[in-house]
Amino acid sequence: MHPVQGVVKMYMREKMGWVLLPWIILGSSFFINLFIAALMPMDEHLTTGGIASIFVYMGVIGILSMSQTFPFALGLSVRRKDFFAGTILMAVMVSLFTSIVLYLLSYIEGFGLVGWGVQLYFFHLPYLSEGNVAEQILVFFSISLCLFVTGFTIGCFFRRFGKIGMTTLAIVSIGGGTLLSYMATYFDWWVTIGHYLADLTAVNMAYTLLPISVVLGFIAYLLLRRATA
Amino acid sequence: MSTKVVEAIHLSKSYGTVKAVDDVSLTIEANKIYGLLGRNGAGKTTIMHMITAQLFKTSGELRVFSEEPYENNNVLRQVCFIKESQKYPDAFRVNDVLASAALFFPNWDAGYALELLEEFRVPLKRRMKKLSRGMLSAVGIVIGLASRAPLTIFDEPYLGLDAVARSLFYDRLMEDYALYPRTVILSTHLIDEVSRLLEHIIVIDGGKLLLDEEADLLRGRAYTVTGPAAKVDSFVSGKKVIHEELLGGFKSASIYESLIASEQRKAESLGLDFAPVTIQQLIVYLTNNSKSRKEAVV
Repeated sequence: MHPVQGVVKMYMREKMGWVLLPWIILGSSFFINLFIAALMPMDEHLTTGGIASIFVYMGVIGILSMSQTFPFALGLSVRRKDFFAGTILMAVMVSLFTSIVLYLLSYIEGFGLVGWGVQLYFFHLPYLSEGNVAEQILVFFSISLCLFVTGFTIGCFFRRFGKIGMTTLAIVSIGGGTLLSYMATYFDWWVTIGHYLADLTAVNMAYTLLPISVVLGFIAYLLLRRATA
Repeated sequence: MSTKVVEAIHLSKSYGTVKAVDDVSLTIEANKIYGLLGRNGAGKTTIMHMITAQLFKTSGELRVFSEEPYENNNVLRQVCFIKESQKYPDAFRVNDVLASAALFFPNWDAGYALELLEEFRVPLKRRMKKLSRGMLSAVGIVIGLASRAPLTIFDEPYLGLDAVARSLFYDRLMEDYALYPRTVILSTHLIDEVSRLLEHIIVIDGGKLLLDEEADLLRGRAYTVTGPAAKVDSFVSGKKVIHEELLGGFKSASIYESLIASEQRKAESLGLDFAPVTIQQLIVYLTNNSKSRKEAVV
């Protein structure tokens, strides 16, 4: 068996963490919202952002795969390159699964059991649920993958540079962010940024997130090459 | 194929100004059991991490199975490194760990792994996080043995294991080694216990190579002489004394050189007693930071 396949199979042994747990979290958020929606007057809509939990969770697994699975894989003589390829493959498969299921739920919510009978809009959301099937799935997929890769890159950075590196990165990012926001104010960029975001459709956002994921993945790979258990 | 499994040439690893491994050159040959010995912090673990490409060398050359080990599947597929500090994913149970090991070691013997697990009394379904220190070590030993990797490295494999389990490990290692010859590197503090298994001994001290010798040669390398202090003193004059103890009028001195039979007979007639120095004692003397070490090594 190729080691990349081995890495994926190793992740598959953690179905609970990779697949079940995010849906349990999302499911509990959904049922709470369903309960609230049922208590509300019939003519009111309830639209929530509970769906975000599953995407945030992808970022968490990205970090965990570096803190927990990487040292174990290295201990089993797995090459860093194979670990990277297997991890990204697993993330792509899980993101694809998540986005297809989310699309199906969104379809049911929007066109089948409209609002689950209580006017709840949890999966079928304005802005996100626009465009054709492929586009809607792409939107969910790109958010999921991008957050995973972000978490994974943070995990790689931590493995490579440790606590001191992580603290330095945090300080530099906060400092840089503050500086940028002052520059945006000084040079009047905010209006432009606002217009850009307002005009950005969900599909265009998805198209933007994919190259960002690729760049982050590349950075993660460079960090991983020099990471130690 | 070359019989050299590991070849290190002027291998060094520094952390800032601290030299963890300092200019070590050594060769590990195929199908032998090596003891990599030394005190805590001597640099043994660092060397083993470099051999398995888990740490990066600062300078020097390192070849494992005649190739650079870093990111090299030709090498890594043949290496199994069991370390005391191994981390496991939180959700993993013992069976998940074994199933994962099966994915990466081409010679993995699943039946043998289960058999060993039972002998070490490790519950298959227990979460790794819930295992005692000794059971955690036992899982490592099971992986190391069942992987049947051409180069198997055990770094302090039996932390927390009781005497019964340790002797079980020695027995199984010897049996399986006889059936499936491979190169084993064993790093440990319990030198006396393993010294009968070791064919070759490498001692690292302060990041430097202190000793690299066949175990059999080492066994005859030093001896202890005991008797009345004055007689012992006259006997040892001019010899490399690595350890001395005075008790009342009696003295015992350990000498780092081979004992000549004629000399022994002469000394015994004077009332002096001779005893071999065990490998453990020898290494304690050699790595004990005192002037005796320098004298012995020069």
